[in-house]
Amino acid sequence: MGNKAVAYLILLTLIFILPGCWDRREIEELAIINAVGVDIVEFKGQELFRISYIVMRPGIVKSGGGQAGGGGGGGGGGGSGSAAQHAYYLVSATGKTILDASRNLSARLARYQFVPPIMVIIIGERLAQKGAKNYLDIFERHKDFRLRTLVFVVKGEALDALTAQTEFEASLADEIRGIANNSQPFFSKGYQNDLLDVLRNMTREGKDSLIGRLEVTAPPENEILSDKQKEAVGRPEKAIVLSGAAVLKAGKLVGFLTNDEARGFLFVTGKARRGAIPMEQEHGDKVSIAMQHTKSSITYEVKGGKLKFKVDIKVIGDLLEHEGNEPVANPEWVKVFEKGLAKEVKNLAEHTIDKAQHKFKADIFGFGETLYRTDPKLWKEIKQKWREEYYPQAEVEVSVKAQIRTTGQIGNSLPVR
Amino acid sequence: MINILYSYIKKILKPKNKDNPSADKNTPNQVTVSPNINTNIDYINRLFVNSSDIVCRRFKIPLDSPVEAFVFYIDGLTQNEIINDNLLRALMVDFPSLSSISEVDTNITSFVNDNFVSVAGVKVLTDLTQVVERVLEGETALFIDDSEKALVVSVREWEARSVSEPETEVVVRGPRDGFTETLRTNTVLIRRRIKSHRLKLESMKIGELTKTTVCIAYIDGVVNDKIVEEVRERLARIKIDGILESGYIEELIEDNPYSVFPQTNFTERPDKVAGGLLEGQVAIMVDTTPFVLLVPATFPMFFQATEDYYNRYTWSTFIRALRFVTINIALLLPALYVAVLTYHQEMIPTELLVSLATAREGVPFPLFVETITMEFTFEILREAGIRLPRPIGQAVSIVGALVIGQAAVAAGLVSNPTVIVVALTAISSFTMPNQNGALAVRFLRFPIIAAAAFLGLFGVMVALMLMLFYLVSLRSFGIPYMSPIAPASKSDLKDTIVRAPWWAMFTRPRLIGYKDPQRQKFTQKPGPPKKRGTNKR
Amino acid sequence: MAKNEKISSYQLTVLIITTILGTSVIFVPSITAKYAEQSGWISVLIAFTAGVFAIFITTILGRRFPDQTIIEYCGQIIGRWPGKALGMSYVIFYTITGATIVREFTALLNSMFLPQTPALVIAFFLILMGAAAVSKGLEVIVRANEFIIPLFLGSVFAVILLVMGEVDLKELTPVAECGLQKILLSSVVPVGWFTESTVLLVLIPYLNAPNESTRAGIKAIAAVTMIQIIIFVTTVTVLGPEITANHNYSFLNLARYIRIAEFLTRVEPLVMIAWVTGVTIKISVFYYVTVASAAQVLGMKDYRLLVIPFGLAFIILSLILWQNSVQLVIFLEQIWPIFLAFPFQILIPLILLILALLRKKRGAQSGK
Repeated sequence: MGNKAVAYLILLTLIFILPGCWDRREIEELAIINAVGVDIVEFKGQELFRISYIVMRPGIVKSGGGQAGGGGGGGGGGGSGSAAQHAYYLVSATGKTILDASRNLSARLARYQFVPPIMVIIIGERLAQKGAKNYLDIFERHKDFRLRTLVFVVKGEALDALTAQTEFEASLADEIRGIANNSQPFFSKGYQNDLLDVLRNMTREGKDSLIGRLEVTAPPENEILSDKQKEAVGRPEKAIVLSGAAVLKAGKLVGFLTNDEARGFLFVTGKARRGAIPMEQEHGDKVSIAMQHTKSSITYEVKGGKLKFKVDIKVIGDLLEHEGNEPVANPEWVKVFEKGLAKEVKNLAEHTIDKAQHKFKADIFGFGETLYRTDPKLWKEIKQKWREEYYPQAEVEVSVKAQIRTTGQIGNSLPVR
Repeated sequence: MINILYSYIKKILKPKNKDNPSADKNTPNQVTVSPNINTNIDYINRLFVNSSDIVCRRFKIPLDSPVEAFVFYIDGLTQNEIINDNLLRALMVDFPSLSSISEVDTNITSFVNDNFVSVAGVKVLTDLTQVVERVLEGETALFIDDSEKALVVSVREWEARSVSEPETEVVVRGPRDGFTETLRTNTVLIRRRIKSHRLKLESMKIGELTKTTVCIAYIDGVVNDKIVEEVRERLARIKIDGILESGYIEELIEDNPYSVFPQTNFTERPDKVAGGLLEGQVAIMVDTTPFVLLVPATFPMFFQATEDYYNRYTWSTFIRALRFVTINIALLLPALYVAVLTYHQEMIPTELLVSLATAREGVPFPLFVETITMEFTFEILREAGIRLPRPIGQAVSIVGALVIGQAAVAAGLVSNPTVIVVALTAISSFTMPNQNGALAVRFLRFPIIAAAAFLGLFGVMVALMLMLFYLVSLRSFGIPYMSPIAPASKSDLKDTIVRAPWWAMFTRPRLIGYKDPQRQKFTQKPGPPKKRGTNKR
Repeated sequence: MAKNEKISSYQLTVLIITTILGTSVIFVPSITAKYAEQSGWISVLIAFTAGVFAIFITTILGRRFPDQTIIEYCGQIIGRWPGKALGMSYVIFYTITGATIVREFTALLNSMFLPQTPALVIAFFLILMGAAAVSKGLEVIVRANEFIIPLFLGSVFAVILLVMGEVDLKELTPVAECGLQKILLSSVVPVGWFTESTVLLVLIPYLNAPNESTRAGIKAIAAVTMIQIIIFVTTVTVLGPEITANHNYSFLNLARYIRIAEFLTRVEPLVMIAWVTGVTIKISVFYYVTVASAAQVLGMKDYRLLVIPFGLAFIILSLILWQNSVQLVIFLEQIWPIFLAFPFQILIPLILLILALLRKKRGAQSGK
């Protein structure tokens, strides 16, 4: 009897095969989306949302195309040069909400919007100013978005950022992700974080979020070239650059940090990894220290009715570069350098803390969070007035311990004879 | 309700029970040897009326009054020299003149048997049908006038294949002898390995027309008596006209005849049979085929090769793990390919996704159709490769696979990834040591691909779980089919997932050899003299 | 129903583990985090005591009546007709539980993996697997469970191991900040799950060694608690308590977060397929218990005739009892633990045990 029951059920199963499979999609029907940008634009007095995608067109990749927008980048070159021939293509649409915009986009997209490969989310300035959290809801709710996607803010519109050309990778998303994953930890300036981090910071008590910022410039500002050189070198007209971070207070954009100020942030939160710190000594020698490792801890105490935070930063580095004739392979000199390094780091950190505390009044470091974790009762009392009162008025003391481990391959630099 | 309808329909459609179709209408029931020799000769001539390979030689034994006798055998099945020398010459030429023999007080046949027939294997029979049966097996019958007894002499010899390496189970290390088509040779190969009186070989004849000798082998005291009893019973129940191969018997004694999965193991290798006997299995040897059955068989046995026991245990364990992986690949790879690429594309890393999408541009068929078509094509190629004569066969399979695959890709009919997937699957399925098991796996691939095409990975899991429930419910001769994995048995697992070194295999498989569970003593771990000795247990 | 199928103690332990963990690994972290935030692991620990308590009640009660299931012996304790009524209500309870499991499963698959596929189809295939197992008997379910438990637990641990690099223990502080009351409140849900081990009430007659059932059950609950705590702690320390509480399927999200060396990403379909095996066993167990109990209430010899009707019941109920996922969540958080799990899995067995002790009722001891 048991076997018969199963047999009947299997027959019933066959009936289900007839109507067809519901979730099936052939791989060539997909529009593979690498990056998404969200903006608020104004049109005829109305505020609309714009969503922009960078879509991959595999058929074109086969014939060796590159990033849309003209010569230079990617492999193969543009062939005939028209935008239609390129492998990575920018599409955008507007709508009343972000989801509405993406559905409107489908009206002209020949393939199914395949969202999971998205690596980068770019938020336009205006949208960030209005309050990013509400509009990021779709990224949290919809199952296809991953918490690991990188999030960035741009000044201006996300769409413009997405038109940048790539220098190393085929697609802009790969380029941005490469900068974020491969380079940013290596030079510890600017900031990058993923969606999980952003959402977590925005919903956490006692923390404001910092989101990395991208800039599209042509050419990057630290590359100072003369016109003739620009022509010879052949840079793309617009390249994407990691350029500091955006400060969001209670989810709303209030300002930006530069690359160096972002480095200060990294020191305070212990996220700085590697990178070079140049120091100028009193007697004119220039020294560069390459950081290997940093750690930080934040503690607080209540002194006389006022909050005092203490930030302890520990920096370990190697001597990378020395312009001068001092005998650096000398413990005394190493101590001098260490002191100088500590001072440099302290300055950077204090500068950033000052800006965040007083200019933006945004607790991006998580001082409030630290308070919450160690003394929840106290936090409960003051949390309402944290951003406006207690945080800007809190005293912050930064102390840095620096250690230089090695001086590279050589000890002293041989003087010129 | 439905049951009633169902059984009613079954009754109507079932054919009426005919008589046993395999009954040989020509066999008389019971005929005894007649004292009159001519009656016997007539009877035999009538039976074998159109067969030209029967030899009937009449002669006279030189007694006082010459006694008529005749010898009758089948040409080609006997050792003619012995018949000529030890029977005919002994009775015709060397028979002493009767002056030295006063009288024959007993039956002449017994007299001749006791004194003159210098052959070892001799039987005295009175039943003519039995005599005929034995002659058909290659023995020689001697009839003497005035005697109701016939002498049947066993001098068999025929053209047989010599013992050589079995082609279906090739090993690098291990004995190279394999069973042949002669039952006696096979039993000898077993006897050579197990020299114990406890090795029992029971034979019986199965098949009305073929009267194939089937021999059960087991080691008394190790094997579970109930299993032997069951085997005997099931073999006795077989009523069929002919048994040509052990495969017939396999299907006739299975626990679950409808199942895709084999419940008996078969092999051409005597060392595998001997190993099985030592663990408590029963071997069924069938005359005229080199394939010997081993029962009861559990599913994990189909993944064990004899070489595992001869090579070092670390290597064997690694190979077993590899085999496990390749079985999964052979079963699941095409299904996973279809499932992931049509339902779960988010699993694929983006670069791979891009290359796959690029590869599939321009291919007209949906992925499922493509995969199934390529799998079928490969099965066709494989089957064709087996049938072709050897020199051409090799070329065709390699050429076929590569060239056809490449040509199909170039023509835009299939995509490159599909060809790779199909090729990998095929290669993986070659790693299964046992043909039966491999066939089951190869067959089951297709429903799982269909399930994958229908519901993605969920479909694959549904199909696999249904298969698991089915496998787990099977029993082979009373032993759960999936033991020792489920029900789990710690002591048996050490020969399933890994291959424990020989000095650690203390017990026989629990469910089969429970009667004599201890295989060896605990002190077997080798080492230099100081360290040797007792493992603390 | 011939009770000649036997389960060993090890098989029982493993069966209880899968039965409980089958759905709890996906749902419990987020529900406990909702009320107790980062201290949810304390709630799980509290649930451990409740789970052990339930094991004690169940096995002691069951051992007094070694060859009978609760349906059969409750009549002896409280009288024939009340016994029948109680048996009937247990059947209804198990049916609703089964429908809940089916609904949980279809909700997960629909929202995360197969959005277009109708829930009916998913439920149908799940019940198909369950029916195949149940009609072959309890031994099949148990053996299949032995087979898949390495796969199931292995995938859970693989996820946890792969995500270890992202763990930030600070997320667990401040401990117990939300107050003991909230922790107790949030422990109600894991208690509901952990006491599902009381399917033992119907399974004790099939055990090889009923006297070891207490120990086997406690081993199972201990393992379940440990695994659940590890899952909770890992999820909260990686994702943070706010997100854990907010997302319906936090553990799955955790699996999504795995990224090793840029290529081992997006492994959650693998987690899903491992999890499907666990849910299949769980639904098979409840399916079996439902059908066997119903057969006993109705006095039928063979429960197999009831397989198809109850299968349909599971499917249909799973579709109509809850209109949307919000209702399902509220049901799981509030209605199920208090009105269904607690009475049937703790209260009633306890009352039966007390009555049995008072009235000195025992079951017929079969010679063993």
